[in-house]
Amino acid sequence: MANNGSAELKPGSAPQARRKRRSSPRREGCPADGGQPLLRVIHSADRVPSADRVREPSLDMNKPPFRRPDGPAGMLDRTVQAQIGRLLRDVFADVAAEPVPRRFIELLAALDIKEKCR
Amino acid sequence: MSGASPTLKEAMLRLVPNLRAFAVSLCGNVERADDLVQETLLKAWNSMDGFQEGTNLRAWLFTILRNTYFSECRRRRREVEDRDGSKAADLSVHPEQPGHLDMADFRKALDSLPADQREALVLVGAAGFSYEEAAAISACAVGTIKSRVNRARGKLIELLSISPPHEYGPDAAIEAIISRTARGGSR
Repeated sequence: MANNGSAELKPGSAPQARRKRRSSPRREGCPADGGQPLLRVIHSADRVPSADRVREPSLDMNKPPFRRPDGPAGMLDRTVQAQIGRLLRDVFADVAAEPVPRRFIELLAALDIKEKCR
Repeated sequence: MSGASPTLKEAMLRLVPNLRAFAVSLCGNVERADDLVQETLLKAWNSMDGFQEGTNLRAWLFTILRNTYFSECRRRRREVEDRDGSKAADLSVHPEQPGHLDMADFRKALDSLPADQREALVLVGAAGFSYEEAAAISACAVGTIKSRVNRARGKLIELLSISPPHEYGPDAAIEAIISRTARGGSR
């Protein structure tokens, strides 16, 4: 927990699908070697020729969140799970850190006294 | 009735914060959660004979609380269906900053999970129970708990659109511009 979680999520990890709806500055990442773009900026859907989209099935809005079938899935899964785990513990700890409401202190005290008076 | 020894009473009091956190995660509402905790403490006190010292008081209280909650749910069936069904369908969480999930986003997603999955996930992932203990608390098989936890995690990933870091080296400056443009456009 001491390890701040922000390190786990780099700015570049934004789901590509979320950006798709918005038109962004015109910029095509086209490395000289003609391979995969270094950075993909997603233009609004109607401006992207459909032929281009065929190569990028993960950008389909109807698909579940970004998943790279050939990626190191195990490692990525662990990162995501760690993030969920941390949030889960935070949500729980948030309530658990609140002071005990008076009603419970009084309730237990009253029960205890009642028990002793029998 | 033997009653509670002072130490047992103190132990119960010490567990109240945990019980409240569990109750809130189950019903998503602090007032109702506190009513649940109160009922749990009363029931526990009145059936203290059923508790064997040296066994896990925390697990015992959690069991009473969740049984109280679910039997209440059966009485208030309609509300449960609303909680688990229709609300979940139209929920989608779009964190303001890409890659940044705050607690409110997460809470919303957690609340939309079916009650049994949320319970399993909280018991194992937040309250720190083992799968075996969680299974005993929920009165089901260990395998059932495991599959509930897995389904809950999968659904959370989907709802939160958590995307693992991709391999295109993130250019922080450009990413910042893009996210600023995107946020500006959404206002």
